[in-house]
Amino acid sequence: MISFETFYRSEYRAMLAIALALASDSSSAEDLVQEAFISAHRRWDRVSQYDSPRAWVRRAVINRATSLRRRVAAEFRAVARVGPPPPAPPDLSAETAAVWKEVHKLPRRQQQAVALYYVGQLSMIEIADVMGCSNGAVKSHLHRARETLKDMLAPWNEETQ
Amino acid sequence: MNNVEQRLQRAAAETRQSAHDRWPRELDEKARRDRAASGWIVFAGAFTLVAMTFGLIPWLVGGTDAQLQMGDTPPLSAPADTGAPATTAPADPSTAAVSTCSADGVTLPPGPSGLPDAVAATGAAIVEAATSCDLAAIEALAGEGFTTSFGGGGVENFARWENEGEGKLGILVQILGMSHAIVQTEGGEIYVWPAAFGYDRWDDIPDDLIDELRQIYTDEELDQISGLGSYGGWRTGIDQDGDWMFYVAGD
Repeated sequence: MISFETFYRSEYRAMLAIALALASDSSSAEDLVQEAFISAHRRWDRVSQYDSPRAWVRRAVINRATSLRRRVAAEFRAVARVGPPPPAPPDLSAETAAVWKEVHKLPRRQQQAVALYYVGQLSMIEIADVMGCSNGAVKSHLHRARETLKDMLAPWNEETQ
Repeated sequence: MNNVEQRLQRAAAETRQSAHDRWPRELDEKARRDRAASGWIVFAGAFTLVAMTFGLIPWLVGGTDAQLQMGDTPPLSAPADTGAPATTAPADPSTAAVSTCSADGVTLPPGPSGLPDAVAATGAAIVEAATSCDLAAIEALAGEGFTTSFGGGGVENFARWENEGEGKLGILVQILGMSHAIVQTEGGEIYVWPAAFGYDRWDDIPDDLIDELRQIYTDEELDQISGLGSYGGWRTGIDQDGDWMFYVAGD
């Protein structure tokens, strides 16, 4: 059985990348990733036995990230930090931030599919497993997301061309 | 590759790099445990969010997807003005007959205490209808805009679930025997079972309420549900006037 510490160290950044695409800011993204790992830690005896503990944590991250409750719950940003402060991360560029801002306007399942596909680089089967739906549903979410984003990103496209 | 695809790929690559440059934060278990429980949802703004999340908006505003789907079933009779809705119903052949009943043998829960009369009466009527597998009565109890299952749907789901061997009447009876939460709305209170639903965060749910959930979920299932961040399993709600509003799972 893989130790939780090893799992955490190996998976943290991949989970954070997905969270960065879905959360409103980097602090929130770090908070929700920590919460997801803490949940896994508390039940690690069982979660570690699952076929894919990684999928379990991914699911926890995307569900937390797109929770409407989270969007307005200031207390979620109040998670205390211990240990040495992390090095200051580079901010996302204005263009990237603008892309995610538009993605956040999509229905939550489409947001999740976009984050898992583009940022997580998961296969359709993996995304379906994480989201608890069929491959066809994943494809549909992605298709609809791209169609919507064509319109939403159009003004930016015109300005930059 | 079109422009949207390119922009998504570029944004994703930059985001992955940004994450790669970040040092894993130390897990802060103690701080998480020390945080105060968020408790009941006690203000209308929060209810709006809950309603949006769990599909109650159709009931509140009237005339969205959930109600459109109800158009496939005959109009439902209004609840009786005694607060206890009528249990005789316009029997719909699609919902009146089931081959098995998931509530067979389910022990009747004790009547919940501290409930308004109208809520208690509806709760008792639901239990009675479910334990007798009387889908016509279930249909009569479900008011206009009543929602079941994922993303909407009406009382017709009960017959389908039972006939497909995934009966939910038994679970309905069991959760009505658990503790309840009270959700405050601008229009009054909604009583929701199980009480675990009243907590914004899974980790804030007291152990005794988690234990209640073990009546209907295995430990592994609870682990999966906990991944949602809050209780997203089967739950049912009755408003203060005794109108049965929803029986849903998921988000």
